[in-house]
Parts: sequence; structure tokens; C-alpha cells
Amino acid sequence: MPVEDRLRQGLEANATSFSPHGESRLAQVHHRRRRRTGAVTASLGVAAALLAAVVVQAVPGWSPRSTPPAAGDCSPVRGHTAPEEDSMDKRTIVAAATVAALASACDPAGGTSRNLTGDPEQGSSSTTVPTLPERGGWEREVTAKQGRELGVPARTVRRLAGDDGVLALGFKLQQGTFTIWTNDDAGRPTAWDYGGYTFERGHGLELTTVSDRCPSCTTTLTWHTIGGDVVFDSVHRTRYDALADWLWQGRWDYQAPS
Amino acid sequence: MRAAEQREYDWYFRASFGPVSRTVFLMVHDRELAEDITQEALYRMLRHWRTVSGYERPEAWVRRVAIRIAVRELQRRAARADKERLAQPVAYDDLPDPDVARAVAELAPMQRAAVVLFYWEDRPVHEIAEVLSVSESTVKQHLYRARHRLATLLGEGVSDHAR
Repeated sequence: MPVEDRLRQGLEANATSFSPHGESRLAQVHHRRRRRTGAVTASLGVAAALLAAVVVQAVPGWSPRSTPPAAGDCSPVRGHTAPEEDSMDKRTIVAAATVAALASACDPAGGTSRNLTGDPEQGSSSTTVPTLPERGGWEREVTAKQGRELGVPARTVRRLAGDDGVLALGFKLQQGTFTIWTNDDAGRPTAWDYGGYTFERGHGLELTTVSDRCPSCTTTLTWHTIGGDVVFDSVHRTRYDALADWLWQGRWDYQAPS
Repeated sequence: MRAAEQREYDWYFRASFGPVSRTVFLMVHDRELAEDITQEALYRMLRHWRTVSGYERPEAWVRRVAIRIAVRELQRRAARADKERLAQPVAYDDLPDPDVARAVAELAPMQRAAVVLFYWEDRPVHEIAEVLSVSESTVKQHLYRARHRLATLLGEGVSDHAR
């Protein structure tokens, strides 16, 4: 066996044996932040008190009470009038909105068996925006040749499409989340990517990944339907555009719910 | 930190902690240390959240910071006296593939990072170069040397198409 394959297998086996304790670490980070903020605030308070004491000592006859602030001297604090989300771009707002629904299901340990829950209205709240149904799903097959032609790295194509050069894919929308899955070596469906989704005007569909594949990445697709089938015409992703094109672009056959 | 910012940060934390700590774990082979390093990187992200949240990929920033901390830690450990290192043995046999872990541990810190990013994370060379702050040719050199060293250690061959 070439050392590259041996290495990939070994690293994957060793990495997946490790289950990090993300939640307890998150609590520790916030605790440390609060302690630091508290310490900084206390230091600033002490420094201000010392400075005031020095000023009082240095200027005879002056005391803080001798010059009370004017009644109208209440200028607003800079920055406090801006809306809270002003500093966030569209991507992060969408991510934050999706995350609120998915937070309980965002398991940092990764895996394929998590039970995602979300806002069922998220994908179909507006009558003016065309949507896809949350019943059933869509399936398709892509080939290694298509992947290579789109510029997907050869090793990624090999890993996904395997020896037969064919990759079977499934796609489903359910309760405000999307899932795209492939079959593993034993033929079992395995989630490839998942996260939240929103429909946009003009037959747009925006997917926000929460899986380990590409946390917070967004994929924007335009689509149209032929009967029950869906065709994704254009695909734009914040990373791995070629891979997203290979997986998503083209016609998906509708599969009615069983 | 405002509530909306904290929610957003928490989400990035949850999304990044697993993948980043696994990558770091493959480099340092110490579960506790891998989590500590990832936590440190994510804490730094929290301190610079106003800036980092404006980036296109905040998780890439965390990954870069974590890997740099891990490389420095490995360099520091390599510089320690042998006796001190022997006092903290790594339990390779607890891993599913101890041979690969042992072989990777024989590599120099930068080679380890390049190998893990290339073979585990599937990162392209230019991205690895950016993470490690070196040129692309340096990354290729690290990978070339690491591949040959690993082939010897694991008793495997090097395929022709490998870069």
C-alpha cells in the first residue's frame, strides 16, 4: 500500500477516536473572559482613583465638588446608538439566525447520527418566495470524470467516488435543515454535509453548513423544477467551489416519501 | 460582549472546537493538550472577536492560531532534555493506529503540521503555506521529506503521483 493511503487511513482512524469536550471548554473560555474583564475593570477603577487623588493633591483649592458638571453636559457615548447588528455582514446574520435554531443540535464531536431540530417555518414562511417541499428527497449520481473536469482535486475525487468512479448522493430538506448524504463503503447512507437553509427571491436557496466539513460556510444555489425533480443551475460556495459544483449542480431526481 | 455577539461566538466555538482539536491532536498526540491548545486559540478569538468576526472565515483564523501554538509547543518539547520527555510518555497503544501515530511523532514539528493538514484535512499546498507562514515550495519540501521518512518508518512505498 502506498504510504499516502496508509497515512490517510491511520490519521482518520486516530482522529475519529478522539471526542473533544467542547461544551465544558466553552464554559471555561467565558469564565476566563469574565475574570479578565473583571480584573481589567478593577485595575482601571484603581488607576482612576489614584489619578483623582493625585490631581486633588496637586491642585490646591480644587476638589471634584468645586466644579460640578453642567446640567446639559450629557453627550451620548460614541457607538452606542448604532444597531447591534450593524457590524455583522449578511453571512453572519444568516449564520446567527440559523444557529439559534440549530444550536442544540450542533455537536462539536461531529458524526452522522445527530437529530437536528429547527424552525419548521424557516424554509417556507413567505408566499412570494418559491420553495421546495420538505417531503421526500432527491437523489442523483455523479461521476469521477465530472469531478475532475470541474477541477476537484484528484485525491478528493478518488476518496469520494471510490474505485467504480460513481458517487451516489441524496438531498433532503426537513424542519428547516438540509442534509446531503453519500453512501459509505458498506452502502449505508452517511451525512456528508448539513445545516440550515433559507429560500431567497429569484429561486435562490442559501445553505449554511454547521457540519465539520466547513463550519459556517454558505452555499448559494439557484434552482428550477422539472416535475418533481429539482435542477440546481448555479452554485456559489465560500470555499471549495469546484467540489460544491460537482456535488450540487445539475438535476436531482425526486424521491417520494416512503 | 453583547448577547447577539456571544451567540455568534458560541456557535463558532462549537463548530470549530471538534475539527480543530482533532487536527491538533494528530500533531501532539495528547488529548488534554490538544483541547488546551484549541481552547487557547478560541479564547484569543474571543478577545479579538470584533475584528475576527468580520473576516470571511473566522474558523480559518482559529485553525491557524491553534496550529501555530501546537508547532511552538512541539518545538519546545523537542528542545527538552530526554529524561524530561520520558517522564511524560505518550500512550500510542490507546490509538486505533499506533504505528501511524508513532511514525508521525518522529517527524519535525513543521513536517507534522504539513502532513496532518495535507493528508487529514485535505488542504491544498497554498493554504498550508499560509497557515504555517512559509512558502509553497517549503511546504512541498516538508511533505516530500515527511513522505519518505514515513515510508521508511511504516515499511510502505511512495506512489508515483504523490507531489
